[in-house]
Amino acid sequence: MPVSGRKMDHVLVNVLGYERRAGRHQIYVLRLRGKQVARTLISHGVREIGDDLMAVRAQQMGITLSQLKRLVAGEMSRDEYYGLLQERGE
Amino acid sequence: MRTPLAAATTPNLTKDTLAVIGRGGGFGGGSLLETLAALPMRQQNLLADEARHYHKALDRAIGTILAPSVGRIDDQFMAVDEVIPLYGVGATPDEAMADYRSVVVEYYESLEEDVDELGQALQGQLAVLRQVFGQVDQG
Repeated sequence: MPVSGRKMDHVLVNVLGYERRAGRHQIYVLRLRGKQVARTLISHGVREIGDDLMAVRAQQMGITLSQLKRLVAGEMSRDEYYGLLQERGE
Repeated sequence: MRTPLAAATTPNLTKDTLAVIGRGGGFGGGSLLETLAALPMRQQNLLADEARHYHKALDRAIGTILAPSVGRIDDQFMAVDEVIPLYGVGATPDEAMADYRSVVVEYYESLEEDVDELGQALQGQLAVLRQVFGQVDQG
């Protein structure tokens, strides 16, 4: 099921602690221990985010599509997400 | 602060100068279009040629290094690479590629701005994008 840009923005900023940067496109930056460990970007042309874009977004965020879907559904916490990033060496 | 006319009209558009122009910087606060319109026609044509040349070189470098593909998603098209990955969307394949190109430029510039605080994965992305823009600057 497609996810709205607003919903994704909420998850990134309010749930996961990404910083939103306004520009032609919106870039979201996640810092952990003083280092930027992940970035994701929403193109200004995107209206809704279906599975194809979700898969790209998940890759940008360092997780799988199914893990991102769990995040959006509220089934995964911020700490769990950070743990996944640490497992990949960030 | 005003840029001397000689500097403003020299048709040497590197990535850095394009970025400054795009932000409206260095031209007394006027927009890029206002600035261009105030130039002699010959100079406008030279600058337009430089921009087209840069545009083509950027497309070549992106095609060689990032190799994005374009496909249909629902009622839109999406251009996406498997290297970074970055994507762009649009109503047509050309629009999707144009969106993708603008994403690549903005993403690269934002990484350069934060170069000192990038983690390992983002440093890797920046290295790839430096190859792209390095190839463009070499012509």
